[in-house]
Amino acid sequence: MSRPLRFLTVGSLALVPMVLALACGDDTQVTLPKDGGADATLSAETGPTPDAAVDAPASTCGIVIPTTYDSPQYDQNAADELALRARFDALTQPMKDIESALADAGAPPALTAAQLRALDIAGTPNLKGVTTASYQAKVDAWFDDYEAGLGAGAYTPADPPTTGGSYGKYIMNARGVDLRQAIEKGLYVAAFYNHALAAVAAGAPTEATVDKLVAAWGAHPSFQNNQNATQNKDVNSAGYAARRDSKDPLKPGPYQRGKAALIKAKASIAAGAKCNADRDAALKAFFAEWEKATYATVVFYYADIVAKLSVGSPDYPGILHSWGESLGFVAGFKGLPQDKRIITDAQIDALLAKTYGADPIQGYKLVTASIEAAGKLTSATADIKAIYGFSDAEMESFKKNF
Amino acid sequence: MPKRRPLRSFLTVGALLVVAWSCREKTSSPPGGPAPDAGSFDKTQLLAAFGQCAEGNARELHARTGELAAAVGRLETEGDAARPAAQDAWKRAMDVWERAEVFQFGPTAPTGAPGSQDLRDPIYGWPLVGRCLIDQTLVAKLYESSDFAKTSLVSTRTLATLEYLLFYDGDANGCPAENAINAQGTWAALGSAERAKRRAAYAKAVVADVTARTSTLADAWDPAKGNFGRELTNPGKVYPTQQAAFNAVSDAMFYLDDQVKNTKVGIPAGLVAGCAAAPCVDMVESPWAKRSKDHIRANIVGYEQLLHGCGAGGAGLGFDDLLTAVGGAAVVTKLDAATRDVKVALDELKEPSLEDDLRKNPAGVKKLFDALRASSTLMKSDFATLLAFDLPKRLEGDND
Repeated sequence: MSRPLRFLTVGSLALVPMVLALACGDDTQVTLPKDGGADATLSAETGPTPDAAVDAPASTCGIVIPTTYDSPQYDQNAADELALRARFDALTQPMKDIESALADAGAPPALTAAQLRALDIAGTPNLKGVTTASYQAKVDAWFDDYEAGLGAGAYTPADPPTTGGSYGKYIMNARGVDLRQAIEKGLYVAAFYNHALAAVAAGAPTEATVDKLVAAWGAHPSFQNNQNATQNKDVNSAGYAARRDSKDPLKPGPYQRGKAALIKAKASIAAGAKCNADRDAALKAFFAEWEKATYATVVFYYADIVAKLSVGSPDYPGILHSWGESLGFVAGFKGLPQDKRIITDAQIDALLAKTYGADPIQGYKLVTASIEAAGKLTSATADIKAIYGFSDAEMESFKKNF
Repeated sequence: MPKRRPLRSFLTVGALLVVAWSCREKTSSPPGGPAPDAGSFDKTQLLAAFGQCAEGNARELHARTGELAAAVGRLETEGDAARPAAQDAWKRAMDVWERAEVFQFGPTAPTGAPGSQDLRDPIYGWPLVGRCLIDQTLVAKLYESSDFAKTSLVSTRTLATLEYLLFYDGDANGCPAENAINAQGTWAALGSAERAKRRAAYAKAVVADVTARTSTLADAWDPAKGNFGRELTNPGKVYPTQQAAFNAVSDAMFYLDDQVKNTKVGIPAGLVAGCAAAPCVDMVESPWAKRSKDHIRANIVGYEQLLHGCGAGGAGLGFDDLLTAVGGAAVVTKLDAATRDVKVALDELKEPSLEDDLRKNPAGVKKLFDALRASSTLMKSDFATLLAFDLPKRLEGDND
C-alpha cells in the first residue's frame, strides 16, 4: 500500500521545479471515489500492483493481454479523428501565429471571428459538430471576443472590466480570459472526449473504435508518452497526460494507465463476447484516466499560478495564461454525459465559482485581488483532491512536468 | 584537523548487517548502488553525528527565533527605535537558518521525501516571497486572523517575509496599479505611520508562527522527543537502508548546487535560465537586508559541517571520514580545494551587496559561479560515485 505522504503546504510550491526523491516502493495507485461513476482503477482490475497493470495486464476472461498496441489499420480506422486533430490545429494555429508576432513585438496578422467560425465548422466531421452544446456557446462568444481583443491594443485588467486586448503576447477578453487557451483546452474535452464517447456509443465497440480513442486522446499506437517526441509525439489531452506521468513503469501515471486500458480494451474486443466485461471495464478505465489526467493538469496550473504570484515581480500575463488553460480544462467537462465521467456538473460549477470561472467570469481578479485569488486556487486544489481521491504523493507529482 | 574517531564495534557492525539484510529484502530498489566497503568504519556513528549536528542547528535556530520574537515585539511598543535591534536579531537567526538550509533531510526534507514533516517552507519560504501578496495582506490585516498561520500562503509569512517587513519602510508597494490596493487607494489611504504600525503587528504574527515552527523542528530532533536521529541510525522505518539514509544527507548537500549555484548566483547573474536581461538584481535572495552574500557564506558553513563535522574547525565525524575509509582521501582533498575556491571567489566580491557586485563586477560573480560549479561537479562525480549515491532527482537535466 502506498505510504501516506503529506500534502504540501502552499509554500512547498517553491520547490515546484524540484523532483521529489521518493523512496522506492511508493504505490501510486489511484483510488476513485465511491460515488464516482467509474469503476475501480485499472490496476485494481488487472492485478494488485501498478506495474502489473502496465507490463502484464491480466484478463478475467482467459486471454493474454499484449504489452504493445498493434494496429496496422490505425490510419484508416482513425481517419475521422486524425482529420479532427488537423482541423483543431488549423483553428488554433492562426492564434498561435498572432502570439508569435506579439512576442517578437511585431504587428500581428488579422484574424476575425468569421474566420475562426469558418475553421470551427470546416470539414466532416467538424469541430463544432462534435463539441458539447454548452461549450459551443462559450467558444462562439470567445471568437467575437478574440476579434475585439486583437484590435483593441493593450489589455489592462480592471475591476469592473473594461475591454479586452493583448496582454504580453496573449489575447484576452475584458474578463481576463486568455482566449486561445480557453478555446483550445476546453475543446480537448468538450470536443475530443465528447467525440470519443460518441464513438463508443455508436454501436458495439470494435478494434477500430479503440483506434479512434487513441487518436481522439491525442496519442499514437506507438504511445510515446512524450509531448516532445521526434516522431508520433503525443498531442492534446494525451500530451498533458504524458506531462503528468513520471514515465516510471513501476509507478505508472495517467498516460501509462490510459495506454494499458486501451491495449486491454482492444485485446478484449478481439477475443469476442466472452471478454465483453473486460472490454467495458477497460474502456471505462481509459476515460477515467483521461479525465483524471485533465484535472491533474488543473492542479498543475493552480500550483503554477500561486507560485507565479508568490514572487517579487509576478508575471501577470503568464498568470492569466495559466488560468485560461485551467478554465478550459475545468469547464470542458460540463455537459458531458454524467455516467461517462467522475466529476459532476455541480462540482464543476463549484470549482468554476471558486476560481472566478463562473459567469460572469472574473479572471482579472488574479491581478486585481491576487491575495484572495491565491487562497481560492489553493482551496480549489483541495477540492479536486477530494473529488478524485488523489493521494498526497500524486498531488505532489501533478505539480511537475515530466 | 582534530577528529574524534569512533570506536570499533563488531556488535554494532553485526547488528547493522542484520538490519541491512532485513531491509534489503523489504525494498526492491534501494538508492544508489551497493554501499561501498568501509572496512571497520562505523557508519552508524557518522549518521548519528549528522543527526546531532542537525539537532544542534535546530536548537540554536529556535533560540535565535525566540530572541527575534522578543525584538520584534518591542517594535509595537517602541516603534522605529526598536527596528535596528529587530533587524540584527533577524540577521542572527538567518545566519543559523542558512546553515540549516543545507540540512534538508528528515523533518525539513522536501514534501514527500522520507521523514519529511514539511517544516522547511513554513520557516523560510524563499524563493516564494510575494511582495504584492504581503502588501495586500497588510492592507487587509489578514495577519490578524486566528488561522493566519494555517491558511495563508507561505509567501506571505516566514523569515523571508520578515525580511521585507523589517527592512523595508518605504511608501511604495509591490502591486501593479490595477491591483485593488492601488486602484481603490486603500494602500495610500493608510499613510506611513499606519503602515509602520501594521508592519510591526504583521511581523509579530509572522515571528510567532516561525518560532512555533522552529520549536517543532528542535523537538523533532530532540532525543527526548521526536528523536529523528534514531530514524537516521536505525534504517527500516523511514529509510529502508542505511545507504538510503546516507543518500538523503547527500541529497541535502546538493543545496549548494541547485540553490546556491543556480538560484542564488546563476539566475541573478543571467548565467542560468530565468533572467531575461542580466543582471537581474531583483532576483537576489536578500533584496531588502542586502544579506545575499552572508547567506551564501552560512550555506557553505552548513555544507562543511556535513562534509567535515560539526565541531569547531571541522571536528567530529563527516563525510570526509567515510570517504577516507573507502579509499577516497584524495576526493576529500579535491572537495576541500574546491570549497576553498568558492570561499575565495566569494571574498573577492567586495561591494557592499551582491546587487552591487552583479552590476559592477559581473566577472567576479561569474568566478563565484564557476567555483560553485566546479565544486558541484566533484560532488556529482567523485563524491557520489565513490559512495554509490544516487543524485537528487531534482538535478535531472542539469548538464553541469
